Amino acid sequence: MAVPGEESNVPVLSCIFVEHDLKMVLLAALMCVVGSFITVRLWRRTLQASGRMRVEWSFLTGVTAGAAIWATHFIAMLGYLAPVPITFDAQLTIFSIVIAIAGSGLGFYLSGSARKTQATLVGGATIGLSIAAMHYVGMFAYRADGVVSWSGSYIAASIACAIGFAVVSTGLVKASIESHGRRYADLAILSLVVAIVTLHFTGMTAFSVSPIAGLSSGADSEAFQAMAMAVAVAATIIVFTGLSSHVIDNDTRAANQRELEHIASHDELTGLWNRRQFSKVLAERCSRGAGSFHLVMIDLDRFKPVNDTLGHGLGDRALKVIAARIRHVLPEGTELARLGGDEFAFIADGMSAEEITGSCRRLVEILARPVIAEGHVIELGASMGIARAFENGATPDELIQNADIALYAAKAAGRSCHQFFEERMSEKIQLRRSLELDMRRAISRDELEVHYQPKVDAKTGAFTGAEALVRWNHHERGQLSPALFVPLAEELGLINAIGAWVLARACTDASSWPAHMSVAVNLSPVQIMDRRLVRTLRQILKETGFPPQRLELEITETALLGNDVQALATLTEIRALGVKISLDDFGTGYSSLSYLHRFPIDRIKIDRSFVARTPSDAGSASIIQAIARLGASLGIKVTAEGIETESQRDFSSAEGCNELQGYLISRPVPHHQLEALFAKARSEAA
Amino acid sequence: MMTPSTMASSLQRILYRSKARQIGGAPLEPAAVAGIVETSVRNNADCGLSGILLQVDDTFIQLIEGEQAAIEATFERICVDERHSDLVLIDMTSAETRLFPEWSMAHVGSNGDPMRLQVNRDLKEIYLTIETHPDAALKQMRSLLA
Ligand SMILES: Cc1cc2nc3c(=O)[nH]c(=O)nc-3n(C[C@H](O)[C@H](O)[C@H](O)COP(=O)(O)O)c2cc1C
Repeated sequence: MAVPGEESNVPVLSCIFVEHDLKMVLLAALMCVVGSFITVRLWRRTLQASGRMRVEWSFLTGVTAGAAIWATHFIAMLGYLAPVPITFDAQLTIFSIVIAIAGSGLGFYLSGSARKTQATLVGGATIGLSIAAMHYVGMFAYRADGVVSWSGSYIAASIACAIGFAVVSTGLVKASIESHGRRYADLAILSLVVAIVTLHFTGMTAFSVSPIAGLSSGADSEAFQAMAMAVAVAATIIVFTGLSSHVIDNDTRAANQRELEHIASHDELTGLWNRRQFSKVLAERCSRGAGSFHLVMIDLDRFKPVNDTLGHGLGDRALKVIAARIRHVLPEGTELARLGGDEFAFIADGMSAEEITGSCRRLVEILARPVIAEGHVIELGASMGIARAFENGATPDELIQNADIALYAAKAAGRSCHQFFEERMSEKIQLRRSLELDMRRAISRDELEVHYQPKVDAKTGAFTGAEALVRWNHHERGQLSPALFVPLAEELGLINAIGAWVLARACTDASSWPAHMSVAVNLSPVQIMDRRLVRTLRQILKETGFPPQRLELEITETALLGNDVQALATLTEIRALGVKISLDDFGTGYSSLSYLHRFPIDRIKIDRSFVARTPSDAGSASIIQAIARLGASLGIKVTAEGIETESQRDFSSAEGCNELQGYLISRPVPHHQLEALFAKARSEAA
Repeated sequence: MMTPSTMASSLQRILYRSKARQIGGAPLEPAAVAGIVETSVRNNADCGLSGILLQVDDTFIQLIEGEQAAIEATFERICVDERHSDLVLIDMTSAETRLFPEWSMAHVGSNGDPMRLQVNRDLKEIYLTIETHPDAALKQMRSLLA
C-alpha cells in the first residue's frame, strides 16, 4: 500500500510487512490455510456427490469457504495499521460474508458440472470473483476517517490473480479426484491459499488512506476490537463446523461401507461367513504358501427331512442353533462359514491332527444332540471331511474337492463321524467314475455273463433247478462281483437293461435243462418299480419259448417296502403270466410275516445268516423251524440258502425245508459246467 | 410375576440323561457339581424354571419344567456344556402342573454315606426305570424331596 510520497520497489511486500501488524497477518494466514484445507476436502466431497446431494455439499462447502475467506480478510484488516481511526459498516460487512458464501458455493456447484473444461473455468472464475467481490465490499464497509484513494491497476491485478489461482485450484481438485492423488489435493489447497492471499494484499496495495489535517489519529475503539474478535471467532467456529461435518460424513460412509461389506461377506441367517468370503480367505491362505492348515467340511445328516416335514422356518431355526454350537466348540476366531444349505466349513489353523480329531469328535457329539425349537425335537447329526493344505491339494479347488471326497467317505462309513482325506478314497471314487463309463458298454462288449448255482430237493438230493447270478468280466479289472456293480447300475439307471439281458439269457440257457427244472432270476427293487417290466418279461418268454411255470423271480423285502401298492400290482400281473415269485433273504426285514399274507408269494428263501449259525445257535435254529412250519401251513415252499456243511444240510431238511442251495451242493458255475453237472446226475440216476 | 394360568397354558417338561465328563479320568468333583447346581438355581429362578438334577454315579438325570421358550434356551445352553456327554433326551411333554414348583433346581446325588442307603437305592431304581417307565420314575423323584 502506498502512502503518498513514499516510494517502494515492491509495494505489495511493503504493504504486508510495513503497514500490517505481523501477528495478525500470521493469524490471518493460519485461518486461510486451515480454511483452504477444509474447503478442499469438502469440495472433493461435493464433486463426488450428485443431484440434490451436490447442492447440499456445495452449500456446506460455500459456508465453510466463505467464512474462511471472510475471516482471513477480517483478521488481516484488524492487523492493518491504519494511520486514521477506523469503523466498520455492519450491514456491508455482513453483506460481504453473504457474497463470499453464496458466490463460492455457486462456484463449487458449477465446478462439478458435466463438461469438464467449462466446469473448471466457470466454477473457478466464480470462486475467484466471489473472493474478490467479498474483499471489495468488505473494503467499502471499512470506514477510515481520512482521505482514501484507490489504484485501478492493482485492483485489476488483484481480481485477475484471484480468478487465475481459483481456476488453477479448481483444476487441481478435479484432478485429485480422478487420480486419487494426495499431491493434487495439496497443490489445490496451496493455490486456493495463494488466490486468497494475493487478492487480499494486492487489493490492500491498491488502497491508501491518509489522515485529514487537523483530525487526531486516535486508536480504534475497544468496542470495535471486541466486536472484531467475536466475529473472527464465529467465523472460525463455522469453518471447524464444516470440518466436523466432513469428518462425520466420512465416518458414516465408512460405517455404511463396513455394513455393506458385512452383508456381502456374511451369511444372513447364521451370521457366519458366506461361501464367497470363505473362498476368498481360502484362496488367500493357499496363495500364501507357507504354513499348512486343514480344511474341514461339515455336512448335516438328516437335515432335508426336517426342512421337508417341519417347514423352512424350523429348518432355519435349527441351522441357527447348529451354527452357534459349531462356533461354541471351535476355538475363538476360527474362520468358519456356512457354504449354503446345511453345509459348513472351517479352516483349522495351528491345530494338530489330534486336536482336529478332538474338535471333530466334539462336534459330532454336540451336533447329534437334539435341537428343541418351538416345541419340536429335531434330531440331526453331522459328518465331516478333512483335507490338509498342500499335502491334499495346493489350490482351493483341490482342497475343497478332497475334503468333499473325505466327507463322502465319512457319510459312506455310516455318518456322524469324521474322515481325513486319503488317496485311496479318491481312487475309489475314480473307480466308480470309470466303472460308470464301462458299465454303459458292458452289454455291447459282451462282458456280462450268467453263472448258475444249482439247488437240490431236500428229501431226495436231486437237482431241481438253479439260481442265475450275473457276473461282469471287466476287460481290465477281471471279474467284478454283483455286490459292487449292481448298486451302481441301479443308481445309473442301467439295471433295467442289465436285468432284461440276464432274464433273456437265463430263459435261453434253461431251455436246454430237463423239463422239470426251474430257473430263478433276481429282480432289483428298481426293476419292480419299472412299469415296463411285465411287458419285457412277456416279450422274453415269447422269444425264448421258455415255459413261464419254470421261471421264478426272486425279490427282496426292501423291494416291497414303502411302495407296496405298485409292487403288489406288478407282482400280481407277473403271477398271472404263470411265473412264480420267491421272497429272498427272508427273516432279515422288519415285517416279513405281513408280506406273506399280502403278496402272491410261492417260495421263501431263508436268509443265509440264519443257516450259517445252525445247528449250534438255538435262536437261528428255532427261526428256521418256525419259517419252515409257517411255509408248510401257508402252502409256500421253503428254500434254505448258504448250506455249507453237512450238519446244516441235515438240520435244514429235517426241519422241513423243501429245497437246499449252497457251496456244499455247488458254487455258482458257468452254464456249460452246470449242464455237465446235470448230465452227470442224470447218468448216475439212470 | 407369571400368573399360574399363563404358566399352565405353555408349561412344558423336559427330561434327559447324560454322563458326567471325566476330565483326565477323574470323576466330576462334588464341588464342580455344586457349582452347576448353584448356577442353575440362579438362572432358573430368573426365567421361571423349576426342576431336579439327580446324579447316579456318573449319570445325570435332569427334569426341567417351565415355559417353552425358557426351556428351549436353557436346554440349548446345557447341550453345549462341556462338562457332560452322551446326552439322551428321554421325554418332552406339555404338562398341567409343576412337579417341583418350590425348587429352582433341586439336587440329589448318590454317595457312599451308609445313612443314605435308602436314597441311594431309590436313585438306582430311578436310573433303571427312567426310560421304560418315566412316569413312575418321576413320582419317585418327587418322593425323594418329601
Ligand atoms: C448336568 C447339567 C445340568 C445343568 N442344568 C442347568 C440348569 O438347569 N439351568 C441352567 O441355567 N444351567 C444349567 N447347567 C449349566 C449350563 O450348562 C450353563 O453352564 C449355564 O447355564 C451357564 O450360565 P451362566 O452363563 O450364568 O454361567 C447345567 C449344566 C450341566 C452339566
